[in-house]
Amino acid sequence: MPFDGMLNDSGSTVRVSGAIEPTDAQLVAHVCSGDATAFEALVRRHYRVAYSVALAHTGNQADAEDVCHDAFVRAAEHLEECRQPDRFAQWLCAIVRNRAHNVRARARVRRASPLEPGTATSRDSPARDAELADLRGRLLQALAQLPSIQREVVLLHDLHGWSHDEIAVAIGTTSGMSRQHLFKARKRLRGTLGGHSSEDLLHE
Amino acid sequence: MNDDSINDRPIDFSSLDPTRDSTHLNEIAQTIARDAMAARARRSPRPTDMLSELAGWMRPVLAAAAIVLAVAISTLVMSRRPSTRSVASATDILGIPPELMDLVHSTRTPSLAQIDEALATVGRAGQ
Repeated sequence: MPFDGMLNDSGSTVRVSGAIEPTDAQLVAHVCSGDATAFEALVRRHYRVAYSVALAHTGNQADAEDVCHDAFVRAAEHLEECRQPDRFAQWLCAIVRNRAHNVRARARVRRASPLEPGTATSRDSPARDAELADLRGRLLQALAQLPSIQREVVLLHDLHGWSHDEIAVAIGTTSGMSRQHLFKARKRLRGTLGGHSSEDLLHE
Repeated sequence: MNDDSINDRPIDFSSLDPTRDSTHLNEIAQTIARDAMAARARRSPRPTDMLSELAGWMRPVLAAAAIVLAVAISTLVMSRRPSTRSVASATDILGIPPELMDLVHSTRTPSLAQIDEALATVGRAGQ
């Protein structure tokens, strides 16, 4: 059974490119019966949301990737404890947040410098890679000025694309508070970035 | 454009999007899935057949049997140990002198003097 979908993280069955994608609950059931490809599908589907939360709490891409890896492994180990498999993403976010706090606590002990731009390379040209690295650095520095709750909301909304209702469930607040956090986060980010959007920065 | 309408526009975080490179995402997903399934395998109890199930029971059962055996043997040894006290005979308890019992057990008919002597010892014992 192909589990290649990465568009649906709301737990409902959707049709993508003519194929019906299994729900999160179905994928979780498959994983519980030992299907590794089902877990791979869950990772593809929820990696971005996990990464958004991890980045909001760790502040750098390398730590965010490590946190995501640890969180997915931990989720797999305790998958039978996921009481609402159709809300796997929200359950995963709680694990990611917990792991990220541990990483931050260790980082404080090591006194490591936060918010280092990532070193990930792409398959673009070196000039484009350099531009992207510079842009990532500016965005991460701007994000570092925000409270963690605002970072999480703006990344979940603008990077991952969740609605305020979904964010409210994931972070344990109301939809209205999510809107307020997003508004303040965007305002402060634009202020820090000098009134430019990241697209403007990229094309300066 | 006023402040509110600017902030209604999303910030473009696409440069931070970990899924923008599908090859990289596939590599990540495969690595995580492999590690995750290995972690699940380590956590789940290994399947056991009848023999291994019995072997699992064997050790505690043997240990319990050994304890019961040790207690039983020591109890038996204690109860079979011979008593150091002598057992009193019925004649001793009734106070019949040995001289009189000798006459009773003798095949010969005792003389009057012997009977008198034996009864005298009974009288002496009673005083």
